[in-house]
Amino acid sequence: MISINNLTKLYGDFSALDIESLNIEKGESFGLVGNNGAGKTTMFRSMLDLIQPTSGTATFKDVVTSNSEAWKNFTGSYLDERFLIDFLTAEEYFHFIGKLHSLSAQQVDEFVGQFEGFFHNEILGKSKYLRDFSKGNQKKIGIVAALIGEPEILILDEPFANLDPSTQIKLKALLKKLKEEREVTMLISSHDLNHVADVCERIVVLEHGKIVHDIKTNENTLKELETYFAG
Amino acid sequence: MSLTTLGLNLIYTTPEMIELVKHSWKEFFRSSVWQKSAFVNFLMGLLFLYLALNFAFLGYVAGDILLKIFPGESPITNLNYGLLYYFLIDIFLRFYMQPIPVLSLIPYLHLPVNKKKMIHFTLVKSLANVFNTSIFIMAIPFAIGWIAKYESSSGAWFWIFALFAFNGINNFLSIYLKRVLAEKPQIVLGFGGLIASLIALDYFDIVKIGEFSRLLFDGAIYNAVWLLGPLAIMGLTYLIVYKFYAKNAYLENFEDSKKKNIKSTNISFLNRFEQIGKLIEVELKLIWRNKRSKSVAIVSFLFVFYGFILYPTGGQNAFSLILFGLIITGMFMLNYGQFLISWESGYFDGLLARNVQLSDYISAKFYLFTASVVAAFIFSLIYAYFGWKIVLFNAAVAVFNIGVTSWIVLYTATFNPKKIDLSKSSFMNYQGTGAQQFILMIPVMGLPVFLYGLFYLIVGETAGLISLFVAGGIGILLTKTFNKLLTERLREQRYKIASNFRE
Repeated sequence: MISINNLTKLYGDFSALDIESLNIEKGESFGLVGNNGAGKTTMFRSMLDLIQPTSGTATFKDVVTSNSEAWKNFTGSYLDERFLIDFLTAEEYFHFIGKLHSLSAQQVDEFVGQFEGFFHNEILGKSKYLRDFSKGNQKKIGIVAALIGEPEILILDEPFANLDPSTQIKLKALLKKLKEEREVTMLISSHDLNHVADVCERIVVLEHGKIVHDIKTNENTLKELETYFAG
Repeated sequence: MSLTTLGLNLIYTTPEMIELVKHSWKEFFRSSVWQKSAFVNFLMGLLFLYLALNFAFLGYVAGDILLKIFPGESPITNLNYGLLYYFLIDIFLRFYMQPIPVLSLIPYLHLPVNKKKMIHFTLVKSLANVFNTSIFIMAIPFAIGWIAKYESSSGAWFWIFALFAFNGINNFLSIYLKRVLAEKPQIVLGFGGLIASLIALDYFDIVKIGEFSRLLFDGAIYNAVWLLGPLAIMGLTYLIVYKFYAKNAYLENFEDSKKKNIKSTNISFLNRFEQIGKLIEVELKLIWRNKRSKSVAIVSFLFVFYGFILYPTGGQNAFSLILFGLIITGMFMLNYGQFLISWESGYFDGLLARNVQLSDYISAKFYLFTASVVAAFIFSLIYAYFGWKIVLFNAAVAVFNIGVTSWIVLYTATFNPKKIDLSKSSFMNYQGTGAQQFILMIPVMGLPVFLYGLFYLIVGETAGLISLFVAGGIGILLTKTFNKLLTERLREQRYKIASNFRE
């Protein structure tokens, strides 16, 4: 579903990303962990064609992301608040994203309506611009917007950060459901080892832009990761 | 309101006020304007000094110049005739350019500093800016060299005070108008209407502003009583601004977003155009829901009325008609367009990662420009009153604007656009300004004039006009080709633009 070939990003002499090869299967839930500056966001950004890699490519379903825009049809993503149009209301933003996937306002409302629980009644029908929502609520809006249009690939950067505990739990359930029901291929980065180990079947550890661990999740994964990061 | 509540005399006497003065001093010298090399600052200083000397010299010889133009008449009286016209232009320029110095209140609002004094301080401080000082650099040499010499030195003082009063009126009025612009545009429009009708009355010789100006300033030289009126009006404008600020000096009012109820809106007319329509809708919301873009839009709209001043006074030769046409039909495109793409710097990543076709993105902007030019042109039909030729020229320039200028603006926008933080207030906010904004003006202003001139010289006036229509028409016919070229250009530049915006 996703393959990365020799993807590197140099800033001057500093190597921010250096991945020789990485393949992610359809329906795989893929977790990315690493300390600050390890290259997680750089990796996501270069995969999503937001920065120009120094070399190499990311391919989503046979589409090289830097060569064509066709991958945007089946890819949902949320990296940071730069994905949000801050002077729109939540509904307007959802409708806009829906329109990009040729969904009518009604269809979008129906789709978004099922997340009422996830939103904890704090988002829909609130007459507020996105910029006036709290960080956590902005993140919820961004995540749900990424799900509009039935994406086959979902890329989320630090989805658990800034969320309150009950929303974190709801988000985990939501991601698991997506994987089971729709076989969505998911890439999730997080600082919270617990959550990643819980949601992802496969976890990759980045350090200085390089893959240093690539583990299939089992009951010992969390321990392994903790030992790694403690040392 | 009594003079004690005005508290002007107390402003600088308390320790916290002294701190405030120190802070403004630091704010000024630590501003990012100076964060250049010492050499550049030195050059800027020299340039400033040179300009100041020029102004002073101009003020000194103004009397001689006026004597040459109107021999045998008193240059003082003749200068006074023009002063009110000057202040009318001045208020217009200030409205467009003068900074409002008030945002710096925010960090003090929670501290035990007397809020009223803070406001007085900020308002008085606003008098110390280029707009207010430059006129005196010219006026003082004139007052010394002519009024004090040929009338009386007390007269020179009174005259300077009269200028000071009008200067103050303009200063406070423009601050007030700019502050209410975003909230109550009708006040600004009303004031604009008042000025326009004054100019109309002057144009039709019903009320001569110049005669009144002469009466007032001549009077001030002979008798200080004439100062009372202007000073009273200045006090009044000060009070209006002061009250406005006192009422609004709460944190929430400085934040861009008032927590008023916002309705989700859906411009259903645009739904017909699928993705492009949605992109236009978002851009319209961008313009209307953010202060900086909103004031750009309103100011551009005001420029449409500029014809009421330009056509009666500016002559009707072909070249000025083309320039006026550009200003009237193209102001939104030029003003808003110079920061195109930059406006969206806050969510450009989202646009790139999302299913937005770049060609649709460009089409949306092209249609927005076209709509603004067409709307301005329709309005400009009213200027037929000043001559049918104007309509013809405006039509030619409008077609040229749609077919040629719009593409130039779109193309220039892809050159290294800078980040703009929409939540920041707009005035004197040069964030996002790069070299391309200045370079842009050359082809945009020059091209139609050049084209017209070329065909005018070779064939004649009609051919000049036709050349504008034809060039614009070709541009419109080639919409698809230009769109494709721009799409490629934008694709090439996308990483660079996105990384500029992330800084």
